[in-house]
Amino acid sequence: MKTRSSTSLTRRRLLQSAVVAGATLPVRSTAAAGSSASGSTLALGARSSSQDGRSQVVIGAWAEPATLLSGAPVTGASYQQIQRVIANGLVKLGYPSFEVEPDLAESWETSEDHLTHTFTLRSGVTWHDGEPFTAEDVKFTYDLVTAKEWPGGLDSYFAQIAGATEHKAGEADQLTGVEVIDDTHVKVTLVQPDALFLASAASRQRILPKHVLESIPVADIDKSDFARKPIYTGAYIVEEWKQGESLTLRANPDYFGGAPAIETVISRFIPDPATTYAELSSGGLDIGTVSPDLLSTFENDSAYTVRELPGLRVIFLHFDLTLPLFSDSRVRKAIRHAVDKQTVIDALLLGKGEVGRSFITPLAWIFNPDAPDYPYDPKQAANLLDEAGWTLGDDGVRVNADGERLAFTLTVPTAWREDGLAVQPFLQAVGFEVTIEEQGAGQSTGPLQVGEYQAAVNGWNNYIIDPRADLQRWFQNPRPADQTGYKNDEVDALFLKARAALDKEEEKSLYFQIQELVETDAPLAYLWREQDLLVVGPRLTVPETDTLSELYDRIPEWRLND
Amino acid sequence: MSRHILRRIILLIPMLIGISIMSYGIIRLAPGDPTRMLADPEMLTTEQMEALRVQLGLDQPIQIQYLRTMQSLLTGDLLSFKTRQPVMEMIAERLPTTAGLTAGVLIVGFSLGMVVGVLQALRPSTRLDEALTFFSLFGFAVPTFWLALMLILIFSVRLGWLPTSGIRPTNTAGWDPLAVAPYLVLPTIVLATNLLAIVARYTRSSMLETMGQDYLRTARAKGLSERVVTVRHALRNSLLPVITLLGAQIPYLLGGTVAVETIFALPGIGRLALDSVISRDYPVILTINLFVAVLVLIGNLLADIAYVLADPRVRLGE
Repeated sequence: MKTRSSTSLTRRRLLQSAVVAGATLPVRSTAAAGSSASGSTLALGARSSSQDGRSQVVIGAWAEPATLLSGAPVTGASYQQIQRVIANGLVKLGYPSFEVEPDLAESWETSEDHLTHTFTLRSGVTWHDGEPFTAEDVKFTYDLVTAKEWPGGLDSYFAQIAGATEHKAGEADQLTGVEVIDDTHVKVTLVQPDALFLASAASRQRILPKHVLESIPVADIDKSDFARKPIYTGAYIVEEWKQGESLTLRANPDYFGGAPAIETVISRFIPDPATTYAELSSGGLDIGTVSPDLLSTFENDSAYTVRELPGLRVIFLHFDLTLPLFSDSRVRKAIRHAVDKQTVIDALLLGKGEVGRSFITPLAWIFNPDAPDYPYDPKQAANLLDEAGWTLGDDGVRVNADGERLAFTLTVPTAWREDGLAVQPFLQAVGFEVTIEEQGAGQSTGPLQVGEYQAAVNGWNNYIIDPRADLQRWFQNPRPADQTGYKNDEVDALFLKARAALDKEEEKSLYFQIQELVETDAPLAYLWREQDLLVVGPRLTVPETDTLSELYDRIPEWRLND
Repeated sequence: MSRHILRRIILLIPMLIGISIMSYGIIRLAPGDPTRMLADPEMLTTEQMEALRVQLGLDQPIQIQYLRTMQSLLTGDLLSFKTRQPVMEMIAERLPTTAGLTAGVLIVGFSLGMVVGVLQALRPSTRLDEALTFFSLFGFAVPTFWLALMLILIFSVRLGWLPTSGIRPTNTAGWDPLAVAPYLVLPTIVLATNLLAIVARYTRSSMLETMGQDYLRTARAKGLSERVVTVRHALRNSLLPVITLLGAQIPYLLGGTVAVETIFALPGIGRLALDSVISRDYPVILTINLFVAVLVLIGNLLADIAYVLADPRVRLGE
């Protein structure tokens, strides 16, 4: 889900290249010819109220997830976003800076040594079936996802809870580290201080209903009906999931955050961006995102509201740093200096993007704006390459003293085809020989790992997990599924220190240092962030938000126009 | 004839076993490990990925994996890697859409295609023949996705006559034919355009060949009306090659549904197949492959039977 190489997004992009490449022109010209077509066709599409008179919106926002069961090992696209509308964890990541905020826990106290968190739960919260939510549900949930029979291994953040390893190994029948004090208080004990526990385990794992799941064998829960029609505590209740078609959510009138204004939200799974465009035009969808080339139709129609929101996905190049060529940071820095990102944004994204200069979003509270950056400067790129011993040859390709050419293969998954092709000429201009190797969805092997490639284009969504975890995932050693081979002992030591930090300011300054060191090494070459281009139809009013994911989190505040 | 059909049905079993081995082998030739394709890279540790691999049975030798998959398939409890739902249920949920679409396309494509072909054969080398030839070649050559998008823009976005995508109104469930039909009109036209063109070309040439036969001259000489000559003598005899098409076209049709179901956001088998291939959901891919294989085999069997009914000279297995 995190990388765009996940199925649905790849498919969307795949179709975008296959379908839109051939059809954008006719789509746009026809649409322009009939620019006011939208008004006359509303009757056929979405209606403001369903047949039983309930208010209703149809959204074309999410791809189809694999499951709705929180804690399942395979979750699929859009899963986290949907979870935030239907379910609650003890805490959640707030906007816009991803700081921890109360959710089912209205407050918590952390002991001096940071080993225990005592959560005070909201009282009066009920499950979607009307049963009361209590501290027992919290204990049940944490016991469940660390049980031996629970599919998948032990989550690394849950491994921090006392007794988790023993429980997963089947040596204990429950966690020793989760104690119910009374109906509204629960105490979680960790084996070592972990500043990321709240932001990771406690926000990501939604609380599951004990009274519903305790009768189902643990190993069967992911196969049960609960995975498709779950019962949670969130603002919307899952009414129906029609496979390959749509997810129907009904407002939870007893939601602790207040009953949502719109009674029914139907999310349609539309794989093809051209279809999303047509549905938005014909009134079949009330809200959705479009590609930059299709935005102007809606901008020129006063019935629609268009928003350009900062993209939370960074597109970047990563390298196999174990290769001699890329082990030299001067070569990587030269690559960063060589690409004129703004020109590509203007041409490829029609200006709807921002220059990427960091792995985490600049909105995040730990973002260090002063970390080294390598703006477009081909002269500087040339100097760095000269310095590294690569001198310009007669054919425009640089060679080193051993006569080796400055050449590499850039693996370009279909999802980032245009991005990869856009980078190539800039690198050639400073003396690289870049061979593009396109990788279709059918050829993909999942995230590329060290030894499987030389350089590759990739994308990463910055809104799914905590930004600190984003940094860990790519720069801390050891890490699962190593994609770069990056290793800096000083950075690793800082990560450990930051995770054990007891003070937030201290933690922040440690992450500032980490970014400083990482960007001095420049293991990745950030390219750009595409903006999310949101189109809101004539019937709907949505709140102003900083990002698209916040907008969907706040569906309960959406209103239909009269 | 019934004995022949029975024998053909029994023969399906070894054929299906062979097909299952071949398709499982081909699926496994695709690069990529489902665990890596399915798992959230930043969520799961190496140990978690390994646990998932064991859970999905991917740690076993490939022949064991194949046998286990087939065993689960036959007992009906084969689960999707991705959704952990029974594959049979997933396919059953998608089947009505694809079945409705394909049935519509076969009916429209064959009936209109034969009418066009007969019209052309009756007036060969006229303006009408040339115009129809032009249009059927156009129908054959036009890319599916382009035609689909054009139809959507004209009939849904501009004229507002038909829904843009989906299988039924968003707030309804079930298969009320009146509710579903408008949603199938455009996808049916897109797929039928191609089929119609093929059927028309086959019918035209077959009919022209028949029209030159001696027995037609005899029929006319007997004083039969031109209508009787055309319908009873010429058309019936020209049908044989067209019927062969019926069996042969089913796999192409199902292939075409992948694109059409994607563009029209239809919850059908074609889209399920595409999604499953991309996420390397082996159980789902294998089941769909076998399902399509059964359809093709049955389609061919039905074509053979239709042969007998259309031409008394053909006697199967005697």
